[in-house]
Order: sequence, then C-alpha cells, then structure tokens
Amino acid sequence: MKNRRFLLVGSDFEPFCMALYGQGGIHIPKICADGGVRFAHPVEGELPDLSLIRTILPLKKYLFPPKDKVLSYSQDNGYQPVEYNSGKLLIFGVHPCDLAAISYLDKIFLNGEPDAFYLPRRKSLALIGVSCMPDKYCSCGDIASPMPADCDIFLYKIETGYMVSCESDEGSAILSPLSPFLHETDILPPESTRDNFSLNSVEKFPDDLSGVSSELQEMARSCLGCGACSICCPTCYCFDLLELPSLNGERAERFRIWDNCLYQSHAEVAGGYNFRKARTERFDYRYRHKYLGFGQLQGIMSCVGCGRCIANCPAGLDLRPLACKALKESSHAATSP
Amino acid sequence: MPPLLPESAIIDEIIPQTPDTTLFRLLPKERVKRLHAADFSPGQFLQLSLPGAGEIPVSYCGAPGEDGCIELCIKKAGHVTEFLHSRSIGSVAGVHGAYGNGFPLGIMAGHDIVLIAGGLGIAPIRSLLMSLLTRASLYRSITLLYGARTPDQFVFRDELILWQSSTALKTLFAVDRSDGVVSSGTLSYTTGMLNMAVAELSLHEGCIAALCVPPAAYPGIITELKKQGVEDENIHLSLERRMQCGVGRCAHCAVGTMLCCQDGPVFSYAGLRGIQGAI
Ligand SMILES: Cc1cc2nc3c(=O)[nH]c(=O)nc-3n(C[C@H](O)[C@H](O)[C@H](O)COP(=O)(O)OP(=O)(O)OC[C@H]3O[C@@H](n4cnc5c(N)ncnc54)[C@H](O)[C@@H]3O)c2cc1C
Ligand code: SF4
Ligand code: SF4
Ligand code: FES
Repeated sequence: MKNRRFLLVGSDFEPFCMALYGQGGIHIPKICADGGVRFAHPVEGELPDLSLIRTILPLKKYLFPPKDKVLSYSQDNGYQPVEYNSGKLLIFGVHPCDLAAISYLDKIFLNGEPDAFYLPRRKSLALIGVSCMPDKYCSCGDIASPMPADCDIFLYKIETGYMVSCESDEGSAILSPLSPFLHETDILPPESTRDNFSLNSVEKFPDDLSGVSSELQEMARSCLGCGACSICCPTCYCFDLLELPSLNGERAERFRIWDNCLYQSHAEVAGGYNFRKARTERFDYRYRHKYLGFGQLQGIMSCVGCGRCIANCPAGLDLRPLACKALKESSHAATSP
Repeated sequence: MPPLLPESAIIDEIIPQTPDTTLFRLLPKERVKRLHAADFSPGQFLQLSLPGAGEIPVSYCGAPGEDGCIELCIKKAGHVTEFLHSRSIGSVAGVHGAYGNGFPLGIMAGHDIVLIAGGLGIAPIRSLLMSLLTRASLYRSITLLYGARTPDQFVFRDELILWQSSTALKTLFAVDRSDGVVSSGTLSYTTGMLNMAVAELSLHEGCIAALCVPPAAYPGIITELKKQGVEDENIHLSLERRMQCGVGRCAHCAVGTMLCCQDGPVFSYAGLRGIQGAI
C-alpha cells in the first residue's frame, strides 16, 4: 500500500481507530485527568482528540527520556550499555512540526555512529501524522523549516473525513488489515500545514544579534531562567551525564538527564569560570542553536514553529520576533548598497 | 569513530606534581590489548570515566607512543577529579577517545615554533612539545613559554629543568607572583604576566604559535603575538568549554556555531575571527 492514498469517511473513523488499537501499543493525544494535554494510552473506547493543538511535551520524551539510564558498571564487566527492549509503540495524531522535529533529532543522534540509546527507541516508534489548524502560537507558516515531516502514515483532514497517505513499508503493514475502511484515491493531498516543511529555500539568519541588542536585553531582563522553553521544545536535546554508585562502590549506573541552556550552570566549568554568565549570552546561545545550528548541523534551522516555548513561558517571552527582526535587518544590509 | 563505550584501563603510575595536581599513567586492563584511546595526536582529548563518580574530558599530556600508555595530568577541581585523586595504583578507569582536532603538526616543519602554556594548559602543550622533540631537527626553532601563578604551581618540574638546559629548545618560565623568590631549585623564571613574557620573545614572521592558557589570558597574548607579526593563520589555540559528551551531541560546548569537542578544541585564530565570545 506504500505510496498510495485512501479515503477514510468520517463515519468509519471510530471503527478504524478501534481496529488500529487492536494492533498493539498505541498512544494518542488526549486531555489527561490532571487537565494536561499529552500523548498517552487511550482508555477503553477513547478516540484520539485530533483537535488538540499541542501536547505539553513533544515526542522527544519517547526517544530521549528526561532521565535515561545509559550505562551500568560492574567490577567484572566494566561499563556495559543498558539494553532497551520494548515492543512497537504507535503514536497516532502527530502534527507536522513534531514529525519534522524527529527528523532533526535523527540527524543529531543517528548521523555518524548511531547513539546506542536513541536508535532502538527510534526503531520501536511508528508514527501516524495528521494535518492541523495552527493557533496564535504556531509559527510553521512564518518561517519554513528545512526538515521533512516524515512518518509512516499521514492523515489529511478533508471535508468528508480523512485522506490517508501510506508512506512506508511499516505504514503498509499497519494499514493492510484496515483496508475495509479505506477507499483508494488518486486525488492529490490537499494543502496543509505539512507544506511548511521539507523546504529548500530557507532563510539565512545572521550570526550575531548586535542589530537587535536592545530587544535581546529586554528579553534577558524579564526571563526567569526557568528553562520551560527548552524543556518543552521538540528540538532541544542538551543533556548532562550523571553517575551514581552503589553503596559498596562495586556497581554504578550512568544516566543521561536533560540539561538546559537557560540555566546558569550550562557553561560553567571547574574552577567556577562561566562562558555564558550573562543572561543575554544565554539567549544568544539559544538563538544560535535554534536558528543557526551547531557543528555538523550548521545552517539548519531547528525551530519547527510548534509554539510550545511561547505558550509555556511564564514571562510571556518569544524569541521568534527577535530572530525575524535580526533576519530582516541582515537581509536589508545585504541588499542595500 | 572511536567507540562511545568506555574501555577498561588501570592506573599504572601516580606521580604527584603539586599538592593538587597529579600525573596519572594508564594502561589497558588486559595488558595484551591496545586501547583505542591510546591512538591520538597532541591537542586531542579523551573522556575519562571513574566508576561511580562520572566522566570528564581530559587532554592527553604525553606523546603518542608504541607502548600504548596514556598520560594525563589532572588537577583536583570537583567531584570526579577529587575522586580520581583518592584512587591508588591498580584502580580501574574507563577511557574513550581520542576526540577532537589536535594541533596541526603537519604544517610545523621548517618553521619557528613557539609554545605558550598557562597553568594546566601545559598538559596538551607538553604532548605537542614531546612530539616535536622526537624530531627536533625538522623545526627551525622551538621555544616553550610556560607561566604559572606561583613558583610552586609548576608541574613536570624535572622535565622543565631538563628542557631548560637542553639545546634543542629555548625555554622561558614565568610566574604571576614570585613572593620574592627568583629560582626554585635549579628552575629559573621571571615574574610578570604571560603576555609580558611574550613581548620579550622577539618572534619572526612565519612563526607558528600553539597556545593553551586560561580563558582570560588569550586576548593579551594574541595581541602581543600579532604585534610581533605572527599571522592569524599561524596562531593555534586550544579552547576549554564545558563538555559532557565529547562527540557533538550534548550541545554544551559551542563556540559560535562550531562545537569545541568536534571542530576544536584546537582552533586557528583565523577561524575564530569575528566569533563573539570565542576568546
Ligand atoms: C578539552 C578539555 C581538556 C581538558 N583537559 C584537562 C586536563 O588535561 N587536566 C585537567 O585537570 N583538566 C582538564 N580539563 C578540565 C576537566 O574536564 C575538569 O576539571 C573536570 O571536568 C572537572 O570535573 P569535576 O567533576 O572534578 O568537577 P565538577 O565541578 O564537580 O564538575 C561537575 C561536572 O561538570 C563538568 N565540568 C566541570 N568543569 C568542566 C570543564 N572544565 N570542562 C568540561 N566539563 C566540565 C563535568 O562534566 C563534570 O562531570 C579539560 C577540559 C576540556 C574541555
Ligand atoms: S523554539 Fe519554540 S516554536 Fe520552535 S520548535 Fe522549539 S518550542 Fe517549538
Ligand atoms: S520559558 Fe521564558 S522565563 Fe523560562 S527560561 Fe524560557 S524565556 Fe526564560
Ligand atoms: S561536548 Fe557534547 S556537544 Fe561538545
């Protein structure tokens, strides 16, 4: 069924979902008991709420958990990687921005020698994407992303229900048993938020923010340094390593835990010297990481416009207008004689 | 790419240098094997694990050799390094590497070479110097300038004394504060900041400089080197940053948009031009 498209009429959506649930582990976007919007296991008969705009945490929580045991040490065997064995997990209802974010994380963790902890988790995920309606926090339409919104199956919302696009062998395996609900079509997919991804002509953001220094300082003045903006960002992946010994010292476990570039400790080295002591320097770092990219990913903007950082900032801060202004001023400078 | 999993090594020798800094020699736990991490070039670093304490980046301070021994000169600075100093001969350590870009040995033949180390910056500089000295005649001249805060902070003291009397290189040792002393045993030194000592070197065009000094000392020294006609392309600096992974994945160590662990830690000054906060 790969590379083919099907119509799923609205009235078949519920039986389609129930049949899908029957295939094994599945998480859907839902409002949980505490009121938070998350990807989580559906309760009996619960349908995915595809009208929800954004979950608190993006999908990185599956691929790169906040605290992840990576190595264990014993006197006999030295350091050994912690094996990860878990069955397939299907995530149903992923927006294009979150799919594009996974493409970005793949570049970080799978390029070169694949990360031994990310790889098995990535392999265990199957992704069903869905088109969405942006709200006031979304910016995928303002700054196009070069990352592809790839997935196994994508659902385009159409008037009569969904157009289901099968995009991988895995997608094929998932959809085959569901074919009674699917009617093949050769109509092209409708316009959607997915069109804001996989784009080649991407803006070249300037290297330095001196043109917008007053805005930068204003932001730095109001920031609480809570780190919410990067905790919830689907393309933020800074981590620290933490090692904990057993009481007798014969065994140890090493964890990878999320770190945060808005924390003062992020650039502090032994002896107390701090390479980013000022908050403006930390914002500058965040800007460079999000809009310019580091190392092998230089030139690849990683913000996918999901809006989580803006929606969750207790101080109401937003880096995007600052980046856009810096971009505008630099392209002005480039075109004017 | 070297393995990301630590290889097992043991501490074979422990040679105290100052009250808080020690030279550790590591060998593979299974003597017949050679550690991947023993293959490196001067200026590169490895990730050192102490079971139960954690992992830290450390520069190689010895010359790459046939014997597969790894030399590390480490100062007590916190959790992992304190723990290391409590270990004894035969204790286990994990190593993985080598990581990063080292000094450009390949372009140094035929040139005047000046090596400038401040504080523990002597670690990678010693590695480079030992490699240069194995074929000293390849270079027009070799000068070592090494500054410490006070006379008792010099590490590798026995070697400094040997180098001081060697004809293969010129040495200049400096301390910030001498507290009235002008020589310590047979080691002589001047008093003054490193950049003042650089001013006394009288360097020539075409000279290649390799530096590893504390962050605050770079600007003054670079200004002085440039004043003496050393070109930006010929100034190579080893930068320090907070590092967690060492392999370009934890996003802690960016210098501009380059990563210190992969694009550095040795950068040419020309490559750092215009990058805010690089030095
Ligand atoms: C490329 C490179 C080469 C180095 N070479 C040497 C050397 O030859 N000899 C030596 O004594 N020291 C060297 N250092 C510094 C050494 O890594 C730190 O002293 C060490 O990480 C401190 O760890 P700690 O647990 O003792 O201190 P803590 O302050 O308790 O550190 C806690 C954590 O912070 C991180 N951290 C703290 N300081 C640094 C730092 N300077 N760089 C990176 N991460 C840091 C580490 O991940 C550490 O686990 C080097 C650092 C770098 C980046
Ligand atoms: S920077 Fe903000 S809008 Fe962009 S991907 Fe991260 S959380 Fe989403
Ligand atoms: S969420 Fe807002 S207040 Fe918190 S660190 Fe980010 S910018 Fe600062
Ligand atoms: S140390 Fe992790 S990216 Fe450089």
